[in-house]
Amino acid sequence: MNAPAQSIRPHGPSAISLGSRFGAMLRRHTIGALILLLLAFVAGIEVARPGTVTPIWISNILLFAAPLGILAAGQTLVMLAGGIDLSVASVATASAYLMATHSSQGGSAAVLWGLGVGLLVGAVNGLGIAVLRVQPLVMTLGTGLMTEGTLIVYSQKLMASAPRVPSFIQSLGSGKVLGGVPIDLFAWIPLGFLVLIGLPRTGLGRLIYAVGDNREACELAGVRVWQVLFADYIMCGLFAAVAGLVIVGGTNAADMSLADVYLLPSVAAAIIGGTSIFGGRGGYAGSVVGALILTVLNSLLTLLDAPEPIRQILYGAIILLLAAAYTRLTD
Amino acid sequence: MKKDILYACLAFGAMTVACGGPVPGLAADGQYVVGVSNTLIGNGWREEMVCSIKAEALASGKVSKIVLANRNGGPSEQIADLRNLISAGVDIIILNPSDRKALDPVIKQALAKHIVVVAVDQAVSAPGAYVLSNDQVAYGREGAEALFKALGGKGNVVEMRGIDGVPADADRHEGFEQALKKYPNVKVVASVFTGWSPDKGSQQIKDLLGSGKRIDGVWTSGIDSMIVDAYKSANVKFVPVVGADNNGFIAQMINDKDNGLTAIAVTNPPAVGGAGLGLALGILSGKKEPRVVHLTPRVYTNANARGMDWAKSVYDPKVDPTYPVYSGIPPYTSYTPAQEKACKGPGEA
Repeated sequence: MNAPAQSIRPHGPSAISLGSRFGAMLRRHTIGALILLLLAFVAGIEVARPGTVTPIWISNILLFAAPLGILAAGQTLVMLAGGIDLSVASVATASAYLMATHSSQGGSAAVLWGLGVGLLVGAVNGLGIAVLRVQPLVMTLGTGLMTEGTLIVYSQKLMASAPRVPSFIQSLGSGKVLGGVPIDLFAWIPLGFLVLIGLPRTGLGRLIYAVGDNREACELAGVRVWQVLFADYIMCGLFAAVAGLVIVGGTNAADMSLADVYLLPSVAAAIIGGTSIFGGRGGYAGSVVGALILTVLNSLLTLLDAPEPIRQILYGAIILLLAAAYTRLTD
Repeated sequence: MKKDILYACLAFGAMTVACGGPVPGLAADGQYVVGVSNTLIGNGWREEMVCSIKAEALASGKVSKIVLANRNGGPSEQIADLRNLISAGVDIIILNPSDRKALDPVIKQALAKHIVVVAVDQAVSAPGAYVLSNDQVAYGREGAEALFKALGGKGNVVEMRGIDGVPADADRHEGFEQALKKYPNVKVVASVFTGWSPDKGSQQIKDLLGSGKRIDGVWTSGIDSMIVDAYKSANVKFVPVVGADNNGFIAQMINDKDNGLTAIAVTNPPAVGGAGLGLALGILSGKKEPRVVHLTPRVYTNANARGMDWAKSVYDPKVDPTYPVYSGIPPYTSYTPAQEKACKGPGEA
């Protein structure tokens, strides 16, 4: 569904200036524009603080971007279907916490507990949104709060036994191999390819776009819309659960507010990447670059010697500018 | 009010101390009802604070019941909670205030009903309320001084603060600056706000480590074990790190000493909750207490035997790494660590 932007706009080789020809090219290859932007940010960091952009820095950026990228994968999937999932941060936190408190039962059992949370909350979201037709924003906000509350009760009942992060999860979230390749890429890249290839090439993937584009038309055409949405939210829940495991591997400590900082960035990464919040348009490739841009931005703000309010204003303003620029570019 | 008590004494005879002293709230069985107001849940420090109140209530033997108003909220929620506690007829209110001034009117209402009000952890401006808190300026200063001393009085340090605009963060930064003035050869090469988020702090230190800046020491406002972990995963030689009395950091203090880690822990005990109750019970039994009690934090380093002994005595492998280690604050508290860990108040099974 990236197609409309290409086909609607006429771009003949007539007397157009170099600038607008460049603009037209960007319009056709929006992902190229995003990558250029990312490179511009990286160049900006190197100019502002020479010597920053080193192999270690790049490997760190990839390490930090992976959990955000995995969260953004789920967010992109539900946004393409015209929804949103505000429970991803709570699910990621709950997944990390349940995994850590069950680590004494062995690694695979612990991971299954974590993924189970994602499956459960995803299924509840799916049921509410697909079958009961609750507004996604309200539904997922509600389930997010419920997840958080349940987790607090669970943790309070559990004062005596501490959550422990197993060493393989620690390696997953903070380890590097082959002289600097972050191990969490081995989770992100396969999952990412699954989404990248699955969206345009599988029936489910194409139906997600179709439902987001026009739900009524899909229903009239005999698509079982509820099944598409149900599967969509379950996938999003599972992605959030995986992201939670990666995040807790990075901090080595399960905290009740562990993934809170990822909620809005997961939406922002998808939007910066060109996925429409109204559904039907966009794709995961953009979200990947969006996640990288946000991570580079965070790094820039850490290394920049600026007061905290200035950093916050910059962060917000840049995200706004990017989203606005993208809309201008594609509409 | 006095008249009521007088009549009660005439009717039942002088059977309780309530008739003798200014203790209007004392129940017939000599037991008090304690109200607790906390507006941040799911946070390890606050959870332990509530547990320490329960433990002290049980250990003192003077409390019949705890009424707990525990939810996430701001001043308006807390005002409603405090009103409910007053209507519930409590004798003591222990609160961790969400605002210094906003709660004053409702605190005045409580004081008018002869309820003993103790604000713990943070101050309230209402006259008549007691305040018992950890001295956060000293927290910043003592930890920073220990760090600068460990660096031999010179070097590059990173200051990893909490949340911008929060009083505790401002106070700790003030203390940090005081220490900095005494050590002119110490340079702050980066000052960042972790937001007290383990994930954010972890990314920030990794960013700083990868930036090529020379770092000789790290001061943190409590996001501590993540810093040591970041050094481990980056395979960089340890520098001295200042943290809090968090269980995970204490574990590193003990276990990574032989790997070259100098860890300095500054205490910020959540037991201020239980201590606040101890203070209130003392007042009700006729003791005179100052209106404001500032507890000076203690500093322990794994560089000496005293620090190591302390670390080994408080570390508990069963406790969450982000939770503070369990401890009492004598003479205000009388409970055992086991009672605090059990987190059961009077009448709780």
